[in-house]
Amino acid sequence: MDSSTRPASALSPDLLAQVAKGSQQAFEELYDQSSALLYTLALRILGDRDEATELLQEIYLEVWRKVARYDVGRGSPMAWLVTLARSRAIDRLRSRASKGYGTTDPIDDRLAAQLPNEGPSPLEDQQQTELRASVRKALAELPEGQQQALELAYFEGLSHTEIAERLRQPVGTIKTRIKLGMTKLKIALQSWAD
Amino acid sequence: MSHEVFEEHIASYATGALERPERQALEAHLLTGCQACHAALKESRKLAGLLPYSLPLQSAPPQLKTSLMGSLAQAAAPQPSIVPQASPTLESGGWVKHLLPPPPTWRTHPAFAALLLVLLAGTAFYALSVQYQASTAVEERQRIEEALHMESGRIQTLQGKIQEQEQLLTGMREEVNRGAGNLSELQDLLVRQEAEVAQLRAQVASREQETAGLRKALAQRDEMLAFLRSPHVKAVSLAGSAMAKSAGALLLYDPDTKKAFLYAFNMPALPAGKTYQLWAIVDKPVSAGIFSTDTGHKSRLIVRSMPAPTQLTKFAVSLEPEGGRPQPTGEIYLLGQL
Repeated sequence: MDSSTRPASALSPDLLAQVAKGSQQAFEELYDQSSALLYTLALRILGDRDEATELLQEIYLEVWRKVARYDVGRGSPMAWLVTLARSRAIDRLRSRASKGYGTTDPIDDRLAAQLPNEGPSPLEDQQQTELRASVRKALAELPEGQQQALELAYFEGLSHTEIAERLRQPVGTIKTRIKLGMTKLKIALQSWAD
Repeated sequence: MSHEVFEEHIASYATGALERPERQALEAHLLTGCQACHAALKESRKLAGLLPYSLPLQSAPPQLKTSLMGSLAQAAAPQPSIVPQASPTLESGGWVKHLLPPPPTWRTHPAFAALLLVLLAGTAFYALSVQYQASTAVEERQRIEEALHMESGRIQTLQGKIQEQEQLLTGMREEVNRGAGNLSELQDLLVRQEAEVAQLRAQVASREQETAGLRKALAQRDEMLAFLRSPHVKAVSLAGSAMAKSAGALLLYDPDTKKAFLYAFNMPALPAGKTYQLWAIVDKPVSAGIFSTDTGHKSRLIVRSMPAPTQLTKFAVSLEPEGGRPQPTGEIYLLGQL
């Protein structure tokens, strides 16, 4: 496939249109294509399998009811689902933190995220495997500080100030790290983000 | 805030790291329709959306799908009103058919059919245009409401900040006033302390002077005592001449050390520009020193080195011009011999 036109996800807007029309078959297909990624993301953020499962149940029911909210102009269907899942998971994480529950251990998760590529999974096709490998490589090539700052922001929902406190660095440094990290990711993943 | 600052914030906004006030400011800026920022945000969002692909894939529990598909039956059907479609196809069947009356027997008449078609097209166009305007107005209203909501949120935040800053300022003013009060007290204290220190310094100086005087006196007494203890000290009594009949003096001298001590009393007050001079006489008078009188007409003179002490027998005191003379020039006032 020409690398300059690779889409990040196999989910097509047409599939969402069919779901919007009430097609359970289309919904099932949507689930099959997206649930592993969304579950992985929810698990990374929440660190708890039961809670991640519960969250996914909520998200998919929301997708079923409110699929009309999807706006083609704002990104691919998969990007929309990922944004929705991340946002709901971070909401849960914050609500849990405000109730005084413990949060996940970011170090363990980071280590887990850095495990060597386990090879193609039966859950994904060749293109997804390539995408995973590219993203992992791009992240791994970032300086550790930039990688940490991005992961704390994206997977743990921490703000500049909170990241600065966690890493004991000035807020300005964290802002710069995130900006530089994103710029480098943009260069490395240009063909996937287009 | 400038456009460049907003651009700076976009990567952080997409990763979710932006602080609330910055986020609200950026969202308000996006509402202004800045194309560059919208494009940058879209790109950053896509990139951020790729981050979950870095995680080792975990499959969701199989029972989730079963339970989800079961729930679909109870859940409300998707809202079809805003079906997302890349190229919307308006299926003209359904609702248009409702506008048509049941087909009459004369429906095949060509003129009627033409008229009907014109009417139908006009009505459909009007309905579509009204629907389009209404939906545009609703969207516009929603956008304005969102913008208003966001702005009022920002205003509230800013008001909160202003209040905080005012409180802070009041606190600082009080602190400054307290500080100023303390400072003037400290200045007064400092002035008082400086005056005390100056007084103490003056006292110390005067004491030092006194001490120096006492030390000098003590040294003289020690010298005198040592002088008197010497076994070879000789004493000569000097009597007043016709110039000073009631005056007299005692001269002690030690031939070994050549030191001598003269104590004179009832000496007439010295005229201006004059001094008394002691003479040691062997063959001729040799000056042994000059002296004056105190208020009690008494005089003391210590002679460090008496000339030819072993051969001395006679001593005299004369009145001489100030500074003394190598040989006596004035009247003799005191005279004595061993």
